[in-house]
Amino acid sequence: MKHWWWKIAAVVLLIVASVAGLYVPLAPALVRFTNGGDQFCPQRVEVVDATHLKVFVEVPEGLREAMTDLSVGYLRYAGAFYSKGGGEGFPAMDCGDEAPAPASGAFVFPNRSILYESIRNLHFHVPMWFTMIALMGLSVWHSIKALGGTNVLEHDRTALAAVDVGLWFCGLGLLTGALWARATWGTFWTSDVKLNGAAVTALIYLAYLVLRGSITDAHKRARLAGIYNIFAFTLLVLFLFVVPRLNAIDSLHPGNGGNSGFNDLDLDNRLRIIFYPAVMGWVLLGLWMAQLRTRTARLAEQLDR
Amino acid sequence: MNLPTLHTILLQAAPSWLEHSLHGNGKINVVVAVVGLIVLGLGLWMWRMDLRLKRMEEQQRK
Repeated sequence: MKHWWWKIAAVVLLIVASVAGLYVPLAPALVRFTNGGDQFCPQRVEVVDATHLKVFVEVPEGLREAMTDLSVGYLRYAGAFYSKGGGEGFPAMDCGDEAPAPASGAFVFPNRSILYESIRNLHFHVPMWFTMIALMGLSVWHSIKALGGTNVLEHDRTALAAVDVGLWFCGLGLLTGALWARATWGTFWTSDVKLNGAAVTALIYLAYLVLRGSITDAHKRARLAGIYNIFAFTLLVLFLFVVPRLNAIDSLHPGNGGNSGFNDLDLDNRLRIIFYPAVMGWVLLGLWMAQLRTRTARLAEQLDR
Repeated sequence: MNLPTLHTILLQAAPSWLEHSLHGNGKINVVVAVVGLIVLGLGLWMWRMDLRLKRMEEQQRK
């Protein structure tokens, strides 16, 4: 129990976060009606459950005798009802951009224009990066231990395993991010600071593997790789946390360009409740993978002897 | 006047097969693709681990 409870925690957290991340309904976005070309807005919108919405509307004067369409965010119900008003039309109302607040008690994800359902990617794409950063942190910790002089090769092996799995998560983060970017920003890759920072970080860690491959003496390799790893992790922190937050640079990513990532505008509390367990689950899974990698590497070394 | 939703504007701007598949059903398809990609990535990692163990098993048999 002492040694494997966190592996069960990883699986449980991932199940909970993934199911909730996919299952929690999205709040209705902007609700509006179109009657014969004229647009009008509801007074109040309440979420009943995942598939029911209560809309309170004041029928505007001048309603035409026509079919009225109802739009809820990106969904459009053509001819939702028929009005027998004999009006001549009315000036179009501006319904604003904000999603109406859901009824109390209904747990829903916020509905943001352009993102819509893809806001759920927060629970899948972002934890990839958190896991990568956690693994690189673990790696640099073991590199420092290796430089300390005791159990040098043991620590060096763990440092390598963590970078190996961390790069895997980095790759997944880049690929899932590219896909999400295509659907949100219209392109797989932009010259966003955070994207470039992530790409440079990936290259720095690939160079770590190349450096290791070029040295045959194990102790020399452990020492040089350890020093390089400290340098690499410092650059990771700079490229992923410091540079994107500089005031002069704006980023498409929320929470960058002069501000911290965790204010109410960037991340809704209803998302956080699912997001943090998701991050914990993925980080624990990443640590588990790194542990498996370390153990197989140790066995391989023993077999080689 | 009938205001086009942002969704339709985006579809007009880039009417490729990819947009059609990604933007469908309120962009839930992006989430499906992202989850699929992650599972695929983990599967490939398992495959690599499998190869590594197989190599070690062969070495042990010698």
